[in-house]
Amino acid sequence: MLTERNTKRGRLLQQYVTARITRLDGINIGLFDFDRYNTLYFFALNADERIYLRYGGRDVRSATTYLNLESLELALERGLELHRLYLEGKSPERPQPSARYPREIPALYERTVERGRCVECHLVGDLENVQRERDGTLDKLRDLFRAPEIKKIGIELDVPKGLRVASATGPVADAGIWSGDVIRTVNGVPVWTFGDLQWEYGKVPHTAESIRIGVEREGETRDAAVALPEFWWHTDLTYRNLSVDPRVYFRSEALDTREKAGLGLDPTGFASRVESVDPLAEILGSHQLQVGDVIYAVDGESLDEVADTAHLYIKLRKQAGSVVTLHVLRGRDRLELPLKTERMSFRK
Amino acid sequence: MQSALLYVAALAVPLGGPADADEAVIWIESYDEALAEARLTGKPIFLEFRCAP
Repeated sequence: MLTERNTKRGRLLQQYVTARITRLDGINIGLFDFDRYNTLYFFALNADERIYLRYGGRDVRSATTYLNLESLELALERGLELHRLYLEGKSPERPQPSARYPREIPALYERTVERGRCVECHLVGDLENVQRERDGTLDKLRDLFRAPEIKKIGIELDVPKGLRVASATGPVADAGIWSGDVIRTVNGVPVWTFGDLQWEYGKVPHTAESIRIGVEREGETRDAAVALPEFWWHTDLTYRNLSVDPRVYFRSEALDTREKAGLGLDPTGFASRVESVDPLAEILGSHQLQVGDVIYAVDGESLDEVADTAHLYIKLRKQAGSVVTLHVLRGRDRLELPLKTERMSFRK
Repeated sequence: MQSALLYVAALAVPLGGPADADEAVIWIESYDEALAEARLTGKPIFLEFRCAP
């Protein structure tokens, strides 16, 4: 789309040097670290590479849930204000992240840089995980669940108004946060946009039991200690499904408790119904699942503290290339079917 | 000076048809050029990463 100069947004943008990056070759991905599965992501920074704020972030429903022209204008205004403070020497010192470049990640280098191919953001995300797996440092729960949902702790934002809370329920309400409050800090770190908020929230260790959220109310700031519910960091990985090894070539939907009980299955298990089968499954000889099959266990396991579907269980708990046994209900029959998992191919 | 993109940032909602370069905000395609421009002008940088798979 075009941003005309004589609009409010155009006038704000003209006070910046505006730049667009569509490939990450040569980009310091240590400095510009973000959840690579965003379609759009912005940074306001200065010539000294000090980042003022982020604008972006998403949830599982949409890439644009938290993107809005009005909030973009607010972010642009805030960025200019932070730049003025920087020039006046009034910005707090913050350590710069270590520099890191795509060429330094062997798995990424081999598949993109070395072949002269475009280093796209999602490939950085995918191949960083491949490299971690090679190095034996991949922690799927840590490395895949990078963008926790603020709704899980009861925050609904008035998106056009930036970080103004539209409604506060659950843990944040219990901590004394009200609708109308404006979120200003997470664990003491200033946040100006939803992008900032999701970034800081995503850095909280999964083992944390609480976080501090600072809010502004009627000109005063106050800090609230928000108790984190169990699995607060767990999100639907659908929009980054292809980034998760191993490939399983089917998708399944969790059965509800009533359905599981009706089939005589453990109501707390990850039993799920196959919703779609990738044609590659037959070509690669991966499995013989059919749409409608109910997978109630994998290698004899039917319970998992995180996975609520069989395909997620395999992705989180099994290595690419392994062969697993699926325990399946097909009509009245109970079957045991092999499934050979695969690695991502990264073909473009 | 820079190679300019006429199609500019800001979410997925089209505003209208193409416009002249004079009417549109210009987006640089090089991060190094953006840094140099920011040093020259004293302006901050608004940097977009657009990496649709």
